[in-house]
Amino acid sequence: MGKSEGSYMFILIIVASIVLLLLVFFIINFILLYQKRQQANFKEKITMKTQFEQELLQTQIEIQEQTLKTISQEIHDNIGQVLSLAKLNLNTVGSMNDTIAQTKIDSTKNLVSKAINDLRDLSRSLHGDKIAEIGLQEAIENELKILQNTGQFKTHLIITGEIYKLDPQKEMVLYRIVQEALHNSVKHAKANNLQVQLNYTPDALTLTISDDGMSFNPETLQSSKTGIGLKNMQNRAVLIGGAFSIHSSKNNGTSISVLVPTNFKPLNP
Amino acid sequence: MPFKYLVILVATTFIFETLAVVLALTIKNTLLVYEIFSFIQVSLFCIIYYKLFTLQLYKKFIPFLFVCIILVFLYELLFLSLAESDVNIISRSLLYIILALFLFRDWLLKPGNLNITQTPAFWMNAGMLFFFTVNILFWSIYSTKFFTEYKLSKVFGYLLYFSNLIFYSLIFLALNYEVKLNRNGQIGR
Repeated sequence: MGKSEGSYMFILIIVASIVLLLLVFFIINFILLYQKRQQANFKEKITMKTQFEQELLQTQIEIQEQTLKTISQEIHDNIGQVLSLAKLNLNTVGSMNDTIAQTKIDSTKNLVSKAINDLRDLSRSLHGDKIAEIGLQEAIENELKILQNTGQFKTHLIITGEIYKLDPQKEMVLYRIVQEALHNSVKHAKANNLQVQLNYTPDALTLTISDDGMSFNPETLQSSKTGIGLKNMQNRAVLIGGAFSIHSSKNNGTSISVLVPTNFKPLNP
Repeated sequence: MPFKYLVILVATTFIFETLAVVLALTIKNTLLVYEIFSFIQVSLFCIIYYKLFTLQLYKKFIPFLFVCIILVFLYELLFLSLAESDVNIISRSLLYIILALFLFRDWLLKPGNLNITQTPAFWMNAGMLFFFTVNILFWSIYSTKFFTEYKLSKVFGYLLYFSNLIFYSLIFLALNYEVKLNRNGQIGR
């Protein structure tokens, strides 16, 4: 091997070694960078999971609060009144002749039966894990029944498609959205007709809550209390991978829709 | 599962290399065999990388690169002397290096849960980057005056021999990790 041949060979070996060293450096650097990003990703997932858990807990608390409010109102406005009337009937029975007394007793029996039925509905509302236990449709049905029993609203539940069960977390969030929307319709929109629609398709469940009450501009509500309620509904819909939309017009009332894809998996706590 | 294609590729390589040896001993012309093999190799690697990429942008890029390589093949077949041209192998090597770098970038943008050194695709990709970088080095010098003048065939022969050995060891390691992950019911990259 000549002198120049040797030096070329030397250069070649140096070049090849540098290339190989660069490759090794690249791979090691990649692994370190990957691990760093993996850790950052992991931390982000933990944070998201904690937020998700907190939000679920908050949803659960709000459901309980709303349920207790409804029950307290129901006992005061409905069952309390019915039982008072029953008591009044019984108080007057002694001074009446037998025929009228019998009529009064029958009427009292009906009143007590109504009170028992209403109490049964209320006890179902009090059940801790009612959504997981009875399912979203029945929970909504109960909610609407209570509103219907007040005699101030006409309620409708429309279910289309083949019913399936969603994750309990998703159903809980959807139920809370229904509660909040109905509360808004009753309290702020002064609506008379309330409708909840559940449309089941293989890919998604669409929940629509509509009323015939006063309209509003969703964009101007951002700072008010109702606006915060709407924002909460929207955030929760996003939390379960849903798309939230709201439409309000003067003659058609308000309609809130949540489309939840069935394949979206929320972070399991 | 891209590793199904990797196994097919390894088997195809073995078959074509054996065929090439037989043809080299009999009709002393292996060009056609290598041309066909090149096409199969490019197609299978494109499928493997297409399945490994998670970013849609990179997935979309693969058909474009594939068409470019086919054009290079056609150009070589029509306008260059196959016996003297290294365009095919250099362009193929470049394609694989680009795909390997894209895959590394893809992983950095979407890191998974598993330790990267225990994922099969990592070792396959590292092998690809190493082997085809060495290949580019070799083939870019192979046809030059420098190669014949300094009788580098022996040294480069060793270089190719060891780089092949390292590459197939890494492929074996990747397949081994894949089997382990499948056994544990985990999904590898």
